Amino acid sequence: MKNAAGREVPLEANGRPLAAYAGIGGYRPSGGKAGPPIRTCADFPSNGDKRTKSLTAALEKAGLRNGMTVSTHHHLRNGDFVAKQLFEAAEAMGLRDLTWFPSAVFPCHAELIPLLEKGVIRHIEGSLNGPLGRYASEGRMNGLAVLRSHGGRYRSIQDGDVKVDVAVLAAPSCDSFGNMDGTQGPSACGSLGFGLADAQYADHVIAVTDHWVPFPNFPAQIPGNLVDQVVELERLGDPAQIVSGTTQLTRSPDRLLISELAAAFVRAAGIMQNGFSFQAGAGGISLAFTTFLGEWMRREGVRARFIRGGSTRYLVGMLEEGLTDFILDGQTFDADAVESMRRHPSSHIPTSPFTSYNYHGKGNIASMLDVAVLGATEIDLEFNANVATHSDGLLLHGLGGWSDALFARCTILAAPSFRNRMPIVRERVTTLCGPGELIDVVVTERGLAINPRRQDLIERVKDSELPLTTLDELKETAEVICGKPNSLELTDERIGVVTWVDGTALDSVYRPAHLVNPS
Amino acid sequence: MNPTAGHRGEDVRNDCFVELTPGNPAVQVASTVGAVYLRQIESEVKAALARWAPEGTGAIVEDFGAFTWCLEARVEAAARKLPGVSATTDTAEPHPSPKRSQDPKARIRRTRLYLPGNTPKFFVNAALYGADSVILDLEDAVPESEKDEARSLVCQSLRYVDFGAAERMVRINSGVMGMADARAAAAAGADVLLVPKAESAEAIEALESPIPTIPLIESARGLAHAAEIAMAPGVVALAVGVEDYLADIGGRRDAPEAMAFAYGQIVNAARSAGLSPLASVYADIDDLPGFRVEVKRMISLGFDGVGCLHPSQVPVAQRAFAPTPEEEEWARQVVAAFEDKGGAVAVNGKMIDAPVAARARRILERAVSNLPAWRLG
Repeated sequence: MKNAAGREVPLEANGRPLAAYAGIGGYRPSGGKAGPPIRTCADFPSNGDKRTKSLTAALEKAGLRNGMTVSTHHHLRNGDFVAKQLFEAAEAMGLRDLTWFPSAVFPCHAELIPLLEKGVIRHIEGSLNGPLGRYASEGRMNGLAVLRSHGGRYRSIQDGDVKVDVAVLAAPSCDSFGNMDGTQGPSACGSLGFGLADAQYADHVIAVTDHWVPFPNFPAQIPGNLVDQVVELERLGDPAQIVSGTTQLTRSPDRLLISELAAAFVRAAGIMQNGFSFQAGAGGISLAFTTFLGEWMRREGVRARFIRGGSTRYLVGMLEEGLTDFILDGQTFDADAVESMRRHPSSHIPTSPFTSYNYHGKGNIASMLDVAVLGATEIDLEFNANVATHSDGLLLHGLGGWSDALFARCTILAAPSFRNRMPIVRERVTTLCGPGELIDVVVTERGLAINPRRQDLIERVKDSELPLTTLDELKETAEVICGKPNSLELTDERIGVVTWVDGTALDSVYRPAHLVNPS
Repeated sequence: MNPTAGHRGEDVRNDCFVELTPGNPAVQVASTVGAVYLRQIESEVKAALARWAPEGTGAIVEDFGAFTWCLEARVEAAARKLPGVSATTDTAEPHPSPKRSQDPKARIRRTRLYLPGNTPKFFVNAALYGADSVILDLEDAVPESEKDEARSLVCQSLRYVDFGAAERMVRINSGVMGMADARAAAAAGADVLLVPKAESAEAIEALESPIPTIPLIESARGLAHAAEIAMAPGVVALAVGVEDYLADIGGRRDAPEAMAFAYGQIVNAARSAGLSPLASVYADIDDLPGFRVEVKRMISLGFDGVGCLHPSQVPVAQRAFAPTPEEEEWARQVVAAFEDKGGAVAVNGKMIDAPVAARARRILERAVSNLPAWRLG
């Protein structure tokens, strides 16, 4: 059916019912939350030692069977060895038709494609990108890809949309009771917030570690009271890829210009003032935005109350320089930020999708942010945006915290007006991921467009020297340079559904025609 | 072997690789933007073949988001490798240049942004960074094997890319190749030629450039003739090339005094001919504070401009060239008073004569910013 955004969506996905998007704040489910089964201390060793000798033994003890759902978190990022070890163990046990429910996938997970093809994994639940996104775009994955934001994933577990049978959670340090921390050990990754929902709600929780700490491993980000078993693995991941070099500042002149303009807007609009807050991730533009805004804050003596990351050495620098009181760590992207969590435990606040983003909760941090700077692959003239598929229809990016962060008081999408000849302002976005009502400003290298719904922002910068433009003008200029793109041919084969933060179906992802018989 | 031109590979953006197929008119295109541009690219390639290649020639194109003018340049460059096409002149009209109406000796050239001549992805947004001039570089930034195709690309970009208010300079090669570069760039609408390794006024004259030139002094011999080079017809400014000069005299960049003589000579030669002396580049593009110090030093030595290797250097240099509000106010008073009296006059109790008034005018020229206030610099 057509939802409130005018998009055709299914009312069922992978055997589960799905509500159609009903507008922002329009969907108000009632009833109770999901809950994990009741456990009894008598069933656990009284000496607190929950160690099991191997992952296979732990999976057997957990009662893993064909068709069950297994989850992992993505804090080991592109250095993750856990998913592969998990599904190879499952294959050795002769299991099939498992659903994998990661909090995000990375290019390293392309190594799971053979296990998908063999049927050990039947389906991947959640956002897809990179090689697995292409795999789904080519129509090779069983079932619909259901794209959820980080907050949406937490909500889906909490609301009972997805039931996790077994969670296998990487713990860079752990004691025999299962107290898990992310800041110590050879696979240190910082925050473990994305494993929290799994630890709280899965039927069975297995902590895996490559760094033992004698009890008590405190402070623990995930308490051992939620953990059924603890298993030692030789290695959880590749440290070089866990805290990867992706947090280098960009040298791309266009990205630098866009970032500088976004920072200038935040200053000119009066958002940058003592006690303010902002969110910026680890992408090229976000990092550069942070450094440009930091420079304005330094010059004008402004101090933030908190910055929400993706924390990086740039945020750590701002913390140590006194430009912010706190860093709220959603994830920790580089080794300096992990080290800073150890060095400044009272200034780093590990957050989770529950505290930051959870929509069916009693408020969250995202909507308290003064400004969030995010990316987009396409934007239409009504400020509706796409972040999951490109103009070629390929499913290349997960939603991450993007949809959740749109609730910031001022949401800025920062993107080049064309990417490699593809204009980003389009008549209609290929896939709708974020409603235009929540997108306030689009910043490009050719000027910035403010959503006419935000007359307050327009008023604040109308006399500034900022290069103000409109989406129509940006579209026209890009088309003069690039030529007018033809519309993308899609088949009617639905390969995925994008969900909104409240769990409703916002749009469908269709298989692009050019991938049906790829030349 | 079929003639080819362009680049291909995973990291290639806004470029393409073209192989012409004489005798087989088919056009085959594989493109990273093919999902929405395939038909357009096919027709662009066909149009370029019709303009440049002998009848019956087709092409195999691997495209990575090349713009129309780049597709044409690559087809042109590949076609020029075929017998009978090489000397063809492009008769298309050049893009109008806003700089043409300004006296070429008086143009402000605080920042000249270098763009490697065979890398099209850097051209299309070059106007956005606020540089006074862009330099489409056919010389050091282009490998020997790509010289001809870079010339086609630079000329096509001069015809079709909007470089905004920036003066369009082309750094040509030296020697015979430089003559061909000069003819092609002038026909395509370049504003100025940057002539490398200038060593005599005769060599500048022998170039027979139809457009103004800026000789680069980058050898001991060139420096010895700097004054006469500055007086050669068509020369509108004098620039210094530090690396080549130091290599020639056996000096080192980390010894600042190694350049002292050359800087003094070049500033003097340029000024004595009524021209602007232009300083060289600063290679460490990540060290913006160091660059700022260097630009200030060049200004204090008398230079009117610097070369920029990365757009992020542009605002830093523009801000460094901008006078302080106090300097600007002083300069305004001096110029106003001097013009009012037409000769020596006292301002704030100090006597002002013609040279002081000239310095004040130069300060006011530098105060004209093409950098918006929101840029940090």
